[in-house]
Amino acid sequence: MIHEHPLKILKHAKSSIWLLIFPILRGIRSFSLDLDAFYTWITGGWFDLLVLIVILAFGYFRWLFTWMRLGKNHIRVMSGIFVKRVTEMPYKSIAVVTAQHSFYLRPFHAVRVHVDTDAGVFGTTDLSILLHRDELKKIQRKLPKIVRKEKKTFTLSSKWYKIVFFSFVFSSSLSGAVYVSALIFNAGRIVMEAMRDDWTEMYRIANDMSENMSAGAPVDIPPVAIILMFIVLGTWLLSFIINIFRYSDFVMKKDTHIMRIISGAFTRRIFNIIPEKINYLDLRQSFITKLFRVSSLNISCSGYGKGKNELPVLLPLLTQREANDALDMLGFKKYLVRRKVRPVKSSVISYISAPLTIAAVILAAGWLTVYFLSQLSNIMFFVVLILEIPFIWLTVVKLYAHATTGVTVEDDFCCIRYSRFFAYHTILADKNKLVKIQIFQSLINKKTGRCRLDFYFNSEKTRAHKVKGLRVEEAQKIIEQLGVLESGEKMHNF
Amino acid sequence: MKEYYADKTCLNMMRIIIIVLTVIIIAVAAYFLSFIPIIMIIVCSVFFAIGFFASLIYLPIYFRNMKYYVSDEKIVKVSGFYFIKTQTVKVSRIQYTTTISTPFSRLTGLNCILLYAYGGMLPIIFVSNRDFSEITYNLKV
Repeated sequence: MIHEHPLKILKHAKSSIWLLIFPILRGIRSFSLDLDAFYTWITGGWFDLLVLIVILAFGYFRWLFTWMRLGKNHIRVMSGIFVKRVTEMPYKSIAVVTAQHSFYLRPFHAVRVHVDTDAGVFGTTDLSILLHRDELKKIQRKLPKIVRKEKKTFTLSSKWYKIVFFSFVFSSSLSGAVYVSALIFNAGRIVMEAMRDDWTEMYRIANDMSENMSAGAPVDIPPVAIILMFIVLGTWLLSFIINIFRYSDFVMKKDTHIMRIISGAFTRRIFNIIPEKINYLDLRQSFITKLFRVSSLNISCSGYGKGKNELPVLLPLLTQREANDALDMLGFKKYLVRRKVRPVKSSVISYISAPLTIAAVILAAGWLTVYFLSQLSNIMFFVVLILEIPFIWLTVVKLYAHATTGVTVEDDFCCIRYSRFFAYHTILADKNKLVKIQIFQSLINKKTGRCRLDFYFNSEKTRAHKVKGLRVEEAQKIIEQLGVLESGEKMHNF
Repeated sequence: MKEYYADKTCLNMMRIIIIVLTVIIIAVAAYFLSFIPIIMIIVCSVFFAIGFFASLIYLPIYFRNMKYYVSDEKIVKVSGFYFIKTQTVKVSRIQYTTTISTPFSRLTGLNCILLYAYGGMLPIIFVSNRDFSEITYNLKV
């Protein structure tokens, strides 16, 4: 029988902290500058002490009644004083065991352990416990181990500059932050007019800054815009720093039975991943990284990268050669094959129509605004320019996506290349991980004999991988190859 | 395939709890709102109607419709008040289970088994203590 770390008593006690209302009320009632009242308050101190003892006792008993047992085939966790809750989790169901060594828990030899399976409530950890470091070893003993002498054992670590670059690029969308701040910077004049009367002190401080900063600029920069710009860039900077600490000292070890990912400076996280539970691999690229033939390797596996602001990254930044080596090591290299089914040439319009339409609408809206409110012409020029650039960029991204998108289904695996917003994805998965496939046709698609093919794989979160512009016959052939349709059988209406 | 039904003791327990709660709420409303009789009557009537509907119409029908079929391969749950829902889970797809038992569950039947499988969770609720133990024993995933 294993109990949680005694620190958990404090956490349990936290839930009955509301009882402190009674000592506070007593204090308020006897609050007076009179010496007698102070004496009465002091002599009633036993009551406050009693409340504290009750709070701690509640925490203690909850801790005492929560325990874990590692059986032959499953973990059994029991909790609750009055309402008993027993969770039984077989070892064979476990997908990921995460050990989180937070810097504030390390002096107490405590470690937070998360156990995840492919089931459970979406977005939450199936089992989360605070254990003593020695107890963690008992759980790890039940998992497959990395045997160093074994032939197929690999260790990969990322260089520090790669981690910095990765954090820089993926920190809450750098381009988004730059754009939002630039937009605020220029559009702030309107806001400034509206708020001129309200923001007094803050306004004065920002005004001083604005005078200094806009000394060389052709237009006045409003103080509200500067404040908002700093907030946006500050948020990004914070995210960047957090990511550097999160992914520093990134090391991945793998053998045939288990994969271990270790990362983090202040909070050291050790992920023990069962390779069979990996749903698919995702080689992710942007337009720029595609040009430089660099990518990041992500995995879809329950329990990995599902935390807030966490990315399911397996290897942060890889050159093409490194990516090939990594895929070889993971046993996925044969999955990376040339496209066999490609979008038809005429479908390029379905790739670029959305960003082009939005770009046209922005232009039209800007023109109309200037037509009716000519005094805003200066500011509208900046706003339209800044809003147009991402959509023009997206059009270029989508044009390139049309040339690289495709699907290949071979013996027992499939390779899907597609783009989603500004990112390019290459999905490598086993056929048996596919749970749903869907043919989608708009009215125009129906006339032209084209369709969109949506792939859904085993995953904690429902996520469709959408391949646009395929011929219906080819899409049906893919479905046949994936074993969803019998040969010759047709999906209705096609 | 064995059939299990919702425990009638549990139904009666829930009815008692709802009736007691309704009486308390009506008494409190009558005491505090006595100076505005129209609002007091409306509030009391609404709570009376809710209590009456829940204890004498909704719960008996809900409990009558609730059934579980358990076999070695699958678990089927049939439930609902007006719309009857049938949910089936393959036992082999169950990843882990959580059982929740309340104090005096032997008498009240307030037990719950949560089956976590790929794609979601199936709760087995309001089964008698004997059925609860039997299902839990058979579900050694």
